[in-house]
Amino acid sequence: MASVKPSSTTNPLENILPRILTEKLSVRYGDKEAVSEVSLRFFSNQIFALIGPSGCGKSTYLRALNRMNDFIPQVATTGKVLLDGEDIYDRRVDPVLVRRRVGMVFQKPNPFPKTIYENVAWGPKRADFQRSEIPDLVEESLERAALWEEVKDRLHQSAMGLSGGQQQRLCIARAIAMRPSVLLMDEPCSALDPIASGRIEELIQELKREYTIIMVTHNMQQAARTSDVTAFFLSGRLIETGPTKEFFTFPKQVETENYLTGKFG
Amino acid sequence: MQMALGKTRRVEQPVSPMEPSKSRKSRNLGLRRSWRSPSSTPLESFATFLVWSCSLVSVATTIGIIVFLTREAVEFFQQISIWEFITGTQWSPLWEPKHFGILPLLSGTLVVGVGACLIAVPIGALSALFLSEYTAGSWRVGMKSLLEVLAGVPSVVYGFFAVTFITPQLRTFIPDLEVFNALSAAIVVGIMIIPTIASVSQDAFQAVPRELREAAYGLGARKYQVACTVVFPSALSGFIASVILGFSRAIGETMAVSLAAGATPNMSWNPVHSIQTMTAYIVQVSLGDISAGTIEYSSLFAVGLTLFAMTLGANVVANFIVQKFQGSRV
Amino acid sequence: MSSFHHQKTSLFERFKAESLRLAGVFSLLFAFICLFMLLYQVGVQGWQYLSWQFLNGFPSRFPAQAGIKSAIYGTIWLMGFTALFSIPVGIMTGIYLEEYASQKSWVTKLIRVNIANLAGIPSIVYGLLGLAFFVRQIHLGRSILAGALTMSLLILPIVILTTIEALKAVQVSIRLAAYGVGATRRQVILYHLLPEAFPGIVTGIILGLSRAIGESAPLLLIGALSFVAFVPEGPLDGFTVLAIQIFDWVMRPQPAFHSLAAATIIVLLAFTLGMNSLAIWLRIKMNRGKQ
Repeated sequence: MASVKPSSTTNPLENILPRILTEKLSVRYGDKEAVSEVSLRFFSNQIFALIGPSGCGKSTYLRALNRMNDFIPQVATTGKVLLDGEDIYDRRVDPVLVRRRVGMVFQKPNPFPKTIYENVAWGPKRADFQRSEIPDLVEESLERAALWEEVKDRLHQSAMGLSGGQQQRLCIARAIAMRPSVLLMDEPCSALDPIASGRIEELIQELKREYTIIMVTHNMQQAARTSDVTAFFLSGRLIETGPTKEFFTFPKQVETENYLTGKFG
Repeated sequence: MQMALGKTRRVEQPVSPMEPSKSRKSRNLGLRRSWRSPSSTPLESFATFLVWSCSLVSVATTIGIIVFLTREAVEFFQQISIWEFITGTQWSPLWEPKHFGILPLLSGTLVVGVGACLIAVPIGALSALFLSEYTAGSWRVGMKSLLEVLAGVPSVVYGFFAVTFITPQLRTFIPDLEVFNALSAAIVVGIMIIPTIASVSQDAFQAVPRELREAAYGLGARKYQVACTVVFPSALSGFIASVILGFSRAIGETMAVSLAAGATPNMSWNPVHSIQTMTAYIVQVSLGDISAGTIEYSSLFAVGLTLFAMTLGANVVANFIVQKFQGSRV
Repeated sequence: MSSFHHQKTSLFERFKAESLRLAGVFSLLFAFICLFMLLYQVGVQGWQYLSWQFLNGFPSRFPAQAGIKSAIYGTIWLMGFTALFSIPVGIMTGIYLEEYASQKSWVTKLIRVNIANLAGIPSIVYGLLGLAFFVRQIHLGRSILAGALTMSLLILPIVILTTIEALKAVQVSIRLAAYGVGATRRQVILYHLLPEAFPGIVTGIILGLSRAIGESAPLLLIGALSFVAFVPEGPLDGFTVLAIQIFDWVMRPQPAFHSLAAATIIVLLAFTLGMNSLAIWLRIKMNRGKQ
């Protein structure tokens, strides 16, 4: 279990309670158990990396945090996921409201076939944000996603004309326009070239000042470079977690060491 | 050399290993297509020729339609000026005084076509969106198949339905309604084209990539929002194509319209009146005695050519829209 | 109260969400109710007239004595010849386009586009072609042969397109294996591809023929007669079909003839719906098999 001393931030009090945590979270499809009793805590203003070989359940775990698994037929989720102390899997909870607080960026950039402006404004409009505030919100989100300078003169052109890296930054802008508390990123760089990847990694470092970021990655070096805390998954179980530096230099479990040294996966 | 290479190929006819190599051509490596190779036997050539010539039938059909329709239409236009045909507002080729303006038929056709679309487009689009976004698995397949059953009902049966059910029912609360009227025809043709619009639209909606929906739901939107503001706009070109195809089918509809709408060519757009469509006129003439060489006979083809041009034009536009916009929307 | 609970969503929001679903359900229901009402109307009106005498008699001025024997025979004759022409030509065209023709050549593309367009042309235009060419030009007269040739042209696009689809769906591995042992194209098609694609092709044939049974507009132009009191004996005879008989009877003002039409519709629908359902069921079964 990660009970990490967080690095100094503006509001130390905020960091004593985890922003989001899971308690013995399990996810099964049909009779296959993809995630087995994983308990983790995620604190504000930190970047958490979830690593592991393909098929180890890290993406499924990530998607459980904003109830995206609900769309899979025959899915059964047990255990608790508490966002600011509230169980998001409670019967009375509307998953739509959860997803507005927990944003997600996907592996392959997936902007809507609309204008750049409309892409960022779409979410807030659907969630009934104040109409008058939306233009400023769009600018602010694009700035935070390090995209504003490049697109400010073509906000009303199609988003499909952007490069892969730009599109991914647009997707990040789109997600943060919802003012989420937590940002989930499912292998955000795997579909991008190294240069674009690097820019996104820099961006993620900037973003941790405002958000709690949980990132799934299959790239160990990226995890080592970017994150504050790392967790290693294998066959649906959480094997080990800890502050990144420690994790990579002195792994405690055999499996972790094997994975890190490339013996499998 | 021939012998060694002969082992590496299979032939339908044996190749004599004693055959001396003479010119460069016959010194082939045993692989080249020659009169001996398997792909060039008479049987193969015949098979190739057979399938190729069959494909010509489809080409010949189009050429035939164009040639024969035009030929007869030309006969028509030798007697009636194109101007009168296109701009005349009276159509009475079968009785005196004869008039040959196609506008009443065109008007009738459009009344039925537009009316049918007014019914079929909302119903078809909503059904398609519902099936695409709110259903899955065997329900979805089953419902789609059931809609196709609707499409399989022959036109005359719809005509029967219009005459024996729709018109009498409508007359109970629209007393002005004539026995033959445009409204019943529009309703029944509308029902007929619902499957066309629904099916093509549903395919377009379902073709919207999963990732777009994921992104939309991930932002905390509800299903109706995703359906209306992401899925539908992304599939707009497919939807528009479906409407055009539906409209084209509606204006080509013959039997149901003849039975329901009547045979009174006029320019009225009031649905309670009886009208005549281009297709119904063709039926009317063929019910009588059509002797070749008369103006009535060639008028059939003038009207037919107009109808052909309209539906061909609509279908070409629909296909073009799908080709042009399907890629850029993804 | 938790900030994620359902009650946090305004009633208006929930109303909007349900509206779309309800609108979709009602639209589907509308279509199905129309179908149901149509079948009900047909059944209620036509049931009383169904009898052996009806199926075995000829049309008459007196509704009570009228029958559809000539129409049934005519339909069968017509369908037989239509199948005779359209099945081989359609399948072979499909084979040519999918297996023989160069996919890049503009001629092939033109042929494909042409077929797609032919599929959308109103049936009555085919009737005009049939009248001008088969009936007049080559003097087949108002015969079954002329009708069958016209209907074959009409359903050719359907057979072609479904053959192409069926051939496309054959797994690449089968092709690779067959060509890989050095079989000629003809052999691969005849002995490997066609058997695999057979269900799909049969579906196409059934759909095409069921469409042909219901089409009456082209036959009106060909000159299928309405009052036929004989059974055809050869392909050059005059004829009538079920669809035309229905049309003729619905056109009359007397309700008794409408009921006769309804009875005929029951027979016709039994044919059409039966064939269509068979084709749809076959297609679902095939798709499930592929998965």
